[in-house]
Amino acid sequence: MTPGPWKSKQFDDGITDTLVSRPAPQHLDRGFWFSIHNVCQRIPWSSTFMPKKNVGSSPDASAALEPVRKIFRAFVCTVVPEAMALDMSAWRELEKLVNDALRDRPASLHRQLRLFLRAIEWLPALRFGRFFTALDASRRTRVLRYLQDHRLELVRTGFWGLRTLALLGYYGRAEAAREIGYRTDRRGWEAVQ
Amino acid sequence: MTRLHYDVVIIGSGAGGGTVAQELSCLCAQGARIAVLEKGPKLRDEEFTGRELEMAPALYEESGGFLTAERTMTLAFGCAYGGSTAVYTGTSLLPPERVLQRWNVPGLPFADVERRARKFMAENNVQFLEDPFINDNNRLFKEGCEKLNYRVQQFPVNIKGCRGSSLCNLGCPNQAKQGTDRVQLPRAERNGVEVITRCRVLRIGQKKLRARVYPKPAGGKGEPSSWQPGDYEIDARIIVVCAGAVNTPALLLRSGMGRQLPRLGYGFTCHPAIIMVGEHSRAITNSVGHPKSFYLDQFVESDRYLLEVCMYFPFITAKAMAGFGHEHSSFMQAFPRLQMILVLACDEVSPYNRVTIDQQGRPVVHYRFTPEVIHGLVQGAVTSAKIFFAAGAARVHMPVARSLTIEARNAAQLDDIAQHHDFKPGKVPVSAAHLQGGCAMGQGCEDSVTDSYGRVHGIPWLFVADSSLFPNCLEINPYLTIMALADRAAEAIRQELYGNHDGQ
Repeated sequence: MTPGPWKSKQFDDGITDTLVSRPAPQHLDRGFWFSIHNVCQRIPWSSTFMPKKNVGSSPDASAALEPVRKIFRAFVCTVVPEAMALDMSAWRELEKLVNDALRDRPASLHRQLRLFLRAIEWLPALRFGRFFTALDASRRTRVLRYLQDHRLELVRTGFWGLRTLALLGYYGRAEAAREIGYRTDRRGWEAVQ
Repeated sequence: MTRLHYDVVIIGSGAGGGTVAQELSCLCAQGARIAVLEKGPKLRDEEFTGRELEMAPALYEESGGFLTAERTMTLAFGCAYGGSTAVYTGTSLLPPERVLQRWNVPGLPFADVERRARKFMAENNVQFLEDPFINDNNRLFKEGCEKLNYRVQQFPVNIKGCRGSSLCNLGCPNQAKQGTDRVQLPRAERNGVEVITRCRVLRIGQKKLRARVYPKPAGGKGEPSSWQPGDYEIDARIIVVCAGAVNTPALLLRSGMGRQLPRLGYGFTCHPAIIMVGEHSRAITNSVGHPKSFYLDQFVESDRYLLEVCMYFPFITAKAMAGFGHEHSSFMQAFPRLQMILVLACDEVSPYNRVTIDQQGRPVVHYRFTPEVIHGLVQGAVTSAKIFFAAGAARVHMPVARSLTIEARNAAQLDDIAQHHDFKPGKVPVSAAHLQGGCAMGQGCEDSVTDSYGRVHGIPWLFVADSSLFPNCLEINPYLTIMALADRAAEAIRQELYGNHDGQ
């Protein structure tokens, strides 16, 4: 038996080229950021931060977090309180790990990441009259808990995605592994003895 | 465009592809040309460093962070020489007879699958780990189960010379785990099968396929492909797709077979899992020793869940726990005192849960947690907490409760503390590594994609030989069953090519 209607489509529709020219995302899902984009479209003040469609090529990966570094650091310190004790070189390492995870991602993803962080910065202004970065640790926690427990699954998954990045940056560092007492050695039992 | 011809092309080199390659390799002596096309790289032994953020991108699809369309579950599956057998723990269980009876696939007798699975148990050196090499994390699980009169069982594992690095999921740095990367693929290569890494199959056509070979990225791990980077069009008498339960249906869908095979992509199951963490008041051995020695399956039939000992690495552990802030950090700071249990729900086929492709032909997995899955995960979490406390834990991280920490003094209220409505998708971190279905075996096109030998309905030169063949979830760790089914597919291919079963 010969194959059905797919026979005529083989190799001629351009799908194959597209497939390999757009690397799939790691750790974060492209859909998540598009979803956040859709949510923010419903919020009037957030339109300022709407990413422009199809502008520019993939930016320098090291700059992905640059415009929102202050907000990102405040977010990380709320997710992992021990991060407040990090020195400059540790922060650089943390941000490099996050930027590496975002490397090769479409420029639109980087813009959406910045958009979501800016939304977190502005969200408490409605409730507390202050930006996220200006809040104390307790109020920052309340803001993030609000997102984590939100009735909309869309918002919860958005928070989960950003939380994953923060945890990757912090616990991905060899120093953090040492600090929490994670000891591993390829020699296994031999190393313990 | 380079044009090549092979008698058999196998797509993927995991439990399915590696097995088919070995079982067909006897044909090479008769002049048959056989190639395995593997999307991932082949790492040198010294490149297995055990460093989490270094190994995950080298060995897993999307670094192990492939998300479902709903973004509520992470799927982890291998993308390297040996596929997922490079990153599993080597737990080797025979398929349960009750499950195969429930599958009810015409022409798939349990005895045949069991016989073949036992063959691979012997071939891959499956054995029980000796008692002195069982760490506290596993021993405490066993003790907790025994105190509660649960029927705890020991996992047979396929190891040879295990030193207890505990790094199975990041690729064994001591080459002790006997996956297809260590057993079947090297044997197939010695017999004349070519294995081409960094080679992605883009589309299957009429007895041919198009593939693209990628250069080794700067600074990346692994050897370069044996083929020059570029596009290839390969003619083949037989094509065997063994790309796993996500990529196999996706490849067939983007090859335009969806209309002819209406069940293609449907029937996806994956044993959704949550990681439970219990903290003891003293340090235990958890990051040394084989990570997975015991399991508990007595609640599979009644509550649809399975418990297994597990142990993960700092980032994965942090990601797997719900919450954030001081409560989350306090568990992480206690890492040397942590005991871990994996709760796996036995998810049934559901009409919504399936694999599709997006406009670019990339796989998209749609998955919603059914009430039965939520029940399984919540009940499994409660049972895990009971085991932790029975083993002496001081407190437990409970992702399916309003308060995420349960102290030992509250252990008696566990059944009331964990509630189904506290299972919030997107808040409770759920992951899965036992991906199954999408090209189910069955009678005909209306109920399945292949016959019981993995031959695609209506396309006699196209076979599937991986976990996507499962018509429903297996309820245990799947690799031996995949190998048994791949062995059947290889037998059918030998019959197709040379008219006999053994290739002579």
